Amino acid sequence: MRQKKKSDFLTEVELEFMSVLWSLKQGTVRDVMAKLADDRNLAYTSAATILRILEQKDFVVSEKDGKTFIYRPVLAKDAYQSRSLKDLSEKLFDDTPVSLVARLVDDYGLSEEALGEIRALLDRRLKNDTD
Amino acid sequence: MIQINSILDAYIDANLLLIFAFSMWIVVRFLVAKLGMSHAYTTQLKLLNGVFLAVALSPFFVFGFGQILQSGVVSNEFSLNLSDFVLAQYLNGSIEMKPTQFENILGMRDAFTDNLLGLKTTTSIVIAAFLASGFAAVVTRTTLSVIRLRRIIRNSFAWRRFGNIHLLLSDTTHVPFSTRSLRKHFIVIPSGMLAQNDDLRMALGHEFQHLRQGDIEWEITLEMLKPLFFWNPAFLFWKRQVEHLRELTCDQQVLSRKGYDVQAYCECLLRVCHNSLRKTNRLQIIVPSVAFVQVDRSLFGSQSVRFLRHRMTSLFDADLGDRYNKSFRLLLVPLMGIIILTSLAIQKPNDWSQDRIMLSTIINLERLDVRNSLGQ
Repeated sequence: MRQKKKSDFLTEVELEFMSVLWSLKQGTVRDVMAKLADDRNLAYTSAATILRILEQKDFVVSEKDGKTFIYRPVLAKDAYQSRSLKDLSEKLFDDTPVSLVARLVDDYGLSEEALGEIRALLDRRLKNDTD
Repeated sequence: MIQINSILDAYIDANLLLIFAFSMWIVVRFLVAKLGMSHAYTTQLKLLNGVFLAVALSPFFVFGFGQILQSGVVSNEFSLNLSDFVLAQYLNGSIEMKPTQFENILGMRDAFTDNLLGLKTTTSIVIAAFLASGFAAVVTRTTLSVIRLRRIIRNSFAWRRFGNIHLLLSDTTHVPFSTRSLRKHFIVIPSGMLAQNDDLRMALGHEFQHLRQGDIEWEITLEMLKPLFFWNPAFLFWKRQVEHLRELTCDQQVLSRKGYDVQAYCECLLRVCHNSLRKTNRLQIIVPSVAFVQVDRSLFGSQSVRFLRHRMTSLFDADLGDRYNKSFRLLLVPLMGIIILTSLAIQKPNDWSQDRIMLSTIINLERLDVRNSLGQ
């Protein structure tokens, strides 16, 4: 398999696979398939191909164990979340994260508890910055 | 100048022949429908390709016939030229018209080419500018599209290979399509489709059928001709007819070969359209390539929608067992013959025939008569 240009982002199916690998820490093709939704009618070869593409994109690395390959995420879930949010902020919110947060707070139906957590998070961050 | 003149003459002949051939095709389609074979898409596509082949081969026949006339094997009197025939009818008295007026009509084409080449009138300047700018615009559009296509292929992941057929997976396209380079054939599948087994099988079956039918080669040929004939409605209708017939044929063949459920196949077409429209707002038509389904959000997108509806209703209505009916070659042979004869008939006459000298003499006598009557 060859790859010409590395993509920083995952397609929907790839994200599904990465989510499984993030939760498993590592796994074979069959391990990942077993964790996918039951209605996901996926051939073994297709699942193996998706994991090989992820490897080509540098999202996972593989290690040969006998006849099977064990795949392990290289990029942490947090790191990918940051990357996706940064991209979303740049593309959709004119590179102003405040607008993104404002939209989230306005439209997401956040509970009092969740808003309290956000406030605590911001207080902590502000305190760290002033220290 | 003589060479440019010949090229312009050949160009005008090609345009006239295209218009004639497309008119013939409309008649043939009417006959096919009357024979109850409106859903025999394979047969119709073969007939249409045969007609196009006749148009493409006609310059060789014109050249060959010219050589035969020059060598004297066939007498010059054995002319198939349309203007010679009309002139003979005029001299026989079958057409009533003033000689000068008749000569003007016969000389219309010469006058047009002279004006266009010499840019003598405002109209000829406008026509030349329109043809040149249209040519440049279509070439630019096609070049950009080819660059985009190359980029998609370069950035795709190699998946499988069968001989010179390369199956690729792409993150950037949402509609499966096939295309080719000089030596390799490519089938590009959206990587997300790997997770939809049934859709993947149907899309692959469809694209392999396009390869079997040689649709990519036809598409490349038509795209290469487009800069020259972009203004000719016959060519544009022709191209659309080929695009439609090849998809209808492909659907029919895939369903009859693989035995997929018609409803599942139609749902797959709709899913691909839906995914494509959801994920991109750009035009998904990349040339030269043959896509599983045309997704077009431009002003002309309603045509794609209408055709998709037609594709689906055709699958439910048509007999999926349709095979190319070999007896239709009987229709193809005379059809090709008529087109080749027409290509010979619309040629510009090469020299002064006796009839032309006669017409010129009549006109001169008429002018003398007018001058004499004015002198008296």
